Amino acid sequence: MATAPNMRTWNTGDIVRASYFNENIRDAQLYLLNRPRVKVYSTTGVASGPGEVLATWNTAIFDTDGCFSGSSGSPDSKLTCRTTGVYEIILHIDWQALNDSNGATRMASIQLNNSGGTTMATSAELACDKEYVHPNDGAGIQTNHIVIQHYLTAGDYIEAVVRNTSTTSRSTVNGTDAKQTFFAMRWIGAA
Amino acid sequence: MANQPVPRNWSVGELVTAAQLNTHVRDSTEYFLSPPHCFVTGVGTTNAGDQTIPNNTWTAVTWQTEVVDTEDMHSVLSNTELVTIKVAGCYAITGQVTYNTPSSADSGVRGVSIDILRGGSLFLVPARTSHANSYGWSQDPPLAAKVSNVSMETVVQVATYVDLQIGDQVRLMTYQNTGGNLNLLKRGNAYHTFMSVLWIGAL
Repeated sequence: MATAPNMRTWNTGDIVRASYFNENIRDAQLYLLNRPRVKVYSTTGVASGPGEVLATWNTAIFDTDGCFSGSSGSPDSKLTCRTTGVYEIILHIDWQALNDSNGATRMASIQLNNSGGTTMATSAELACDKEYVHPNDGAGIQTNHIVIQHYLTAGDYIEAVVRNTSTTSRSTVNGTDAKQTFFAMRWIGAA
Repeated sequence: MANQPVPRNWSVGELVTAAQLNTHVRDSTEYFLSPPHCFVTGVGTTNAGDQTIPNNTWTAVTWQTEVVDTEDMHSVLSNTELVTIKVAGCYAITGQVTYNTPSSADSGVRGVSIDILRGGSLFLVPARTSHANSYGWSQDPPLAAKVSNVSMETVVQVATYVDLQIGDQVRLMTYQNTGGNLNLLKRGNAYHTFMSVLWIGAL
């Protein structure tokens, strides 16, 4: 767990010590250089179809504060806050494209401390995105995208729930390099 | 060019000099106050007009206005679609395009994508987003009826965090398939279409 700087108030008559400088200057700078941030994706898509599914992740692109504990053999749904503060959170879902002539929706939701729950629009939901599927998707892109800022206390965790209403099952797209479906958060300030 | 701070390990007994304080306190604080950041807008080949995006073709958005450019990461003279990384690090990249209202209701889509180039070649597409078109729906499909003659501007945004090396280049690509050309909006000082590349941490 990182420690956010707690800045020293310098007083007249202080004897400036190396330990003060290391704690209040060096360590503060190290924190600011490497603020808590995590970005995860999954090497295998999460299938939804139709209905709501908890997204799981198995690979961290970076994780500076031990926020993610999943692995390829043990995917995990959670990003856990280790250092209290205000975080920017991004959930980006890239769906397998489908030209659904009946029309349909794709939804994605960020949940707070919800123990793997998959019901959207409850008090655990921080934000939700909903997009329509159109029958002329020549670009082959159907996505959900959410960016929010939220205060998290150490121990809080966030999860993602996705929903596809087409009768055909759809998976999230996870190119080996592109990592187009991802879940990320970064510390942007103290409370 | 900004230098990423290298925090000093202070030792017992050393004489603290003004030069040390300037380098390790003043300069480092200034770096964190103003990290490498490029925010560009003003799409098109001139400041006078919007950028036309052809039908069914991924197209790089070009920028003519640098709202913020701390490291001379962008040029308005050449390769105006590119932002070049001068300080390695993890970057928050945000892009938004706003398409003008089409001449008639259409069933096309609008997309936006972030490209990372390394050594001049496409290296990574870390995120891409599509958005509903101007062909409105009265409520959730499949129960909904398409609302005829609904035309409006369409906004598509994408954001991600990416580790980047010195010399990497970032560009914003966009796509539309409305059946004909469609313009990206540029309207005064409002940032309808923009790209931001912001350093957020060391590698």
